[in-house]
Amino acid sequence: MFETLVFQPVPGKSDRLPIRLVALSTCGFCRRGQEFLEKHGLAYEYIHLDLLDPEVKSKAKQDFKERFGVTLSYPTLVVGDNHTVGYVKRQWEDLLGLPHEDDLAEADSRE
Amino acid sequence: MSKISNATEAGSYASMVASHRGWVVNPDQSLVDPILEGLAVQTKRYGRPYCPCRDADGEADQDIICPCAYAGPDIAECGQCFCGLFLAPGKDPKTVGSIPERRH
Repeated sequence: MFETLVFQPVPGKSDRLPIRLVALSTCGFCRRGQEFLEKHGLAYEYIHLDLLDPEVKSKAKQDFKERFGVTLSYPTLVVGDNHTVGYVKRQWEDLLGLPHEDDLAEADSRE
Repeated sequence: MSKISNATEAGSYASMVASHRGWVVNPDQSLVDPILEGLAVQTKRYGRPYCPCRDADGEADQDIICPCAYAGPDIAECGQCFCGLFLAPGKDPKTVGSIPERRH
């Protein structure tokens, strides 16, 4: 999927997972998602679909729907064969195998 | 052509919409600033402030001109619009995140 698209690489301390972010250049949650990945030092690749040629964009959306059975929405985080649509911190943590930061913070506040 | 050529003007537009509809503009600037910049970009691209959190193509997408047709139901149900720009009064900004897409 997305074989013909050119993703922009962002280096990070950890490249243990093949992480791809499909985003819009204009979207607040997309920006927040990129900040999340960078805060955790994860290497990833991203693409801003709104900056693509309309035909290329249309094909990418069609490819995504055929592969995952849902309409592409933004941001979408793809990790190997799995994905999550939208930026929901807990879902991203689950997909990336990270601890739930909010639970840790709550536990710290109880100590 | 809407008069939104920069984020400041987009902010004024958002405040006007929120006041008119009984919503509030999300005070979380770290989320809202990129959205306002996005609204200005969308207006430059298409001549209207299309939702910056969705993939717009222009004329066929009249339903996602901000405030989009889904903002009312989303705010009633989730306390926020799809972008997180507009909130229901009393909604805690810390609980704002992506919500399911109502548009199909």
